[in-house]
Amino acid sequence: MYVYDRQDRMFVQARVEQFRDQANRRLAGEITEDEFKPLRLQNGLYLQLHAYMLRVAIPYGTLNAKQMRALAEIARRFDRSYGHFTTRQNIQFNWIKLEEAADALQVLADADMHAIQTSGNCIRNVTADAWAGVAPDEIEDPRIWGEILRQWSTAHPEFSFLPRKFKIAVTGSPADRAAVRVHDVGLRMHRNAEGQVGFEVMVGGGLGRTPMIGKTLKDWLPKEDLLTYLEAVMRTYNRYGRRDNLYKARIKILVHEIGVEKMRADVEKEFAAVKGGPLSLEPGTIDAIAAHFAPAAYAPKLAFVPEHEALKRSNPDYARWVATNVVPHRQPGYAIVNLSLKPVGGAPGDATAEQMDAVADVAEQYSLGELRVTHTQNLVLPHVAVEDLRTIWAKVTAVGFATPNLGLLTDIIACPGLDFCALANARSIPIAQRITQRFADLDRVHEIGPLSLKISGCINACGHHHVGGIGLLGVEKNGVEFYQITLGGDPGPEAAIGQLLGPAVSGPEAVDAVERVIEAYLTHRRPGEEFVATYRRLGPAPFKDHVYAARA
Amino acid sequence: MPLVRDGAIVADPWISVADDAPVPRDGGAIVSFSRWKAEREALSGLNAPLGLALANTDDVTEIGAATNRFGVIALSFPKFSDGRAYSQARLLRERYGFKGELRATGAVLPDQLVHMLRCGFDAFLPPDDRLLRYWGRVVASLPAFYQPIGTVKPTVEGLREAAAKRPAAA
Amino acid sequence: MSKTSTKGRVAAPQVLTANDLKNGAVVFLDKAGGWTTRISEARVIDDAAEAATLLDKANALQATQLVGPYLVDVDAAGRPLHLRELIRAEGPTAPLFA
Repeated sequence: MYVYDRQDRMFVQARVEQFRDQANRRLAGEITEDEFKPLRLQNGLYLQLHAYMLRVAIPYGTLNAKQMRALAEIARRFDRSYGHFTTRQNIQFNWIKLEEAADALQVLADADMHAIQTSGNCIRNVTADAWAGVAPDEIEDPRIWGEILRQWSTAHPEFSFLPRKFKIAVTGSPADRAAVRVHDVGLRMHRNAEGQVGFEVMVGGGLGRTPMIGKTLKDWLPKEDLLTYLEAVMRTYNRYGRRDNLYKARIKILVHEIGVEKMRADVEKEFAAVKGGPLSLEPGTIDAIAAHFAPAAYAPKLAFVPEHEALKRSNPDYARWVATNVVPHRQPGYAIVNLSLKPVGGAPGDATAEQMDAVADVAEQYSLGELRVTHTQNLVLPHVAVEDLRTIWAKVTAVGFATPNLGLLTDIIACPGLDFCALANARSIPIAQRITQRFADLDRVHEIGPLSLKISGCINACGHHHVGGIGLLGVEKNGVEFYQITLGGDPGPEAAIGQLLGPAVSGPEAVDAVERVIEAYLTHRRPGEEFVATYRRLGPAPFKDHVYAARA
Repeated sequence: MPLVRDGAIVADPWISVADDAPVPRDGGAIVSFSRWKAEREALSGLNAPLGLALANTDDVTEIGAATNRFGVIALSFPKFSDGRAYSQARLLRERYGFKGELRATGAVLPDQLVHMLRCGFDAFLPPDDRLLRYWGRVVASLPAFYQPIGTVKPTVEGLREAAAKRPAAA
Repeated sequence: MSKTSTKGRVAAPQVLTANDLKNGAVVFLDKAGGWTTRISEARVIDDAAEAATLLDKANALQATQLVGPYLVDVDAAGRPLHLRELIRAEGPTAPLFA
């Protein structure tokens, strides 16, 4: 993985002192809250319902054991001993004090981390496939490009006060585990007719108030032009993106209003002027970054481990965990172990300081010291020898991260919701807790099969409800929480926005409604047909009839 | 607040002239973009330096090669959070080679100063005295930047290359 | 921000709240004119003009002490009427969801 050099360290250390000075000036009354707000936001510091919230970047989802321990230290010293992993490969701490925020940033900087541009109207933390570098289907490691983009976008002088926030995601696999089509810019690596790897550039995707699937702006962009092309995209957006209405300021609205053809023409005109300029990437620059992500020095391991096979036969719990949470690795004899942060009754994505330390220990001992954070709010041990799986299973079971529900109904994505978030209209976590309790029977969850349930506490859609097979959106009516149900959403290569099923329901009814959607699916599905496929085949009618019949 | 350059107050020889007021023949006038477009020939006939004030919605590509006709171009930050003038500044400096004074007006606050300097601004009309008071602190706040933009600080890449040439110091 | 009325009429009694600038904590104007983290100690305001005056005074404290003061409607027992304000006053309901 990428290791900071002296220059990177110098930058993040100086940035901590810059923020300390800004915070001190705010505390001394030298700058107003309006002036301070974008400065703290560009260092990840929000003011939420109960306290300041610090959002820390985990660039492209990769971190090492030492960095995970730094997150645990922040949780312990500056928060209430836990953190919340988010859908953007960030972690949020909910109980931060402004007076101590610079000290927390210092802990990050000392571990080669930062919270830079995790908020604000700037280019946000770049996200990528959580299985980058280890997935068998990968064309090229997207983290190389995530790191190049991180450096390019950090403290960019021209693009720090954009019309609105700007999110970029990169995938190097055809499977798209980074939801690139629902980002402001999505980058998909693929080969052109000549076999060269380049980028499909998609623009104008996003969720929120106006969900849209990104449109292809360029089919294939050579690697060396990535930054010049993005500079052209960003400049076009900075100049022409709407600033008159907060809700119409994302690039997706610009693309929608002027059309993708005009957008492409404007970007190409600007690109023609900057192509070949100082931001063109020299092969040496790319190689230097790529060297950080070179495949690990894997010790040779046997792919067939008799004790592992024997335990799978004798212990159904182990077998289920392996079948569900462990996926193939591109290195023979190794596996990718997914840690579920979705226990029954838990807050999706939450981890305590003790859990963070424990997985750091496991990663250090069994995963070449490396961890990943997924956009589905789980963690990954990316380099586990098959022969160590039995030990790992015991250890992560003890930590509480071994619930065998990856990609299943109870692997719920949920935003913090009204329990924490100043923007929320309704609670998310308690709904997730109730649903996981209702579906606590793992046999049943496995019988239902692959299905994503995503919950957002407001229209900003941090819980990605639009792209959930089942989506729940919290709304408020006369001070009471209600939940809209959408079905058929999909974040993958066949990206689709879920469709509203019918009238919003109350919190307790939402849990019943999910159960009825499942009942309808199980009644109508063909053998082996996943939920979204059934929904696409049948449309909303059978689901709607079954969900609302009970209310009539 | 008077004009600030290089962290110090300087005399401002320029006068902003309203669109309906006569342009003084002895020069030093800053006119609006729309006026310049409408009276381009007459204004070009002036045997005196001319300044241009742009709204942040004005298209600087329309000025193009004429940029160096102007002694000063003033770009506006109606709110500090409205970043359109950063793009205008870079285009003027980097694409059209503008050599004159690039002046930031409006909500020119200390914490955006470094961005402005890097995009090519070199003169500032701040709303209060804080820009001047914090100038040294904010300019010194970050030692280098990742993007090869502007000239106020070295780039991280440049430092890396320099470090690579001095292995002992790395 | 507040969805409650701030001038002209008082539909319900109100308390004045803000976040503490230094630590972000939810605070309420108390009976002695100070700021408390306990809504039970908050001063309950029944008069619209008085509410507006107190809000103005609180706004003046934004330079160094408070962020975003506003008025919150409460019931006769001094509990917020809206769920958002109840959660702000009493803390997250999760994971203790009833």
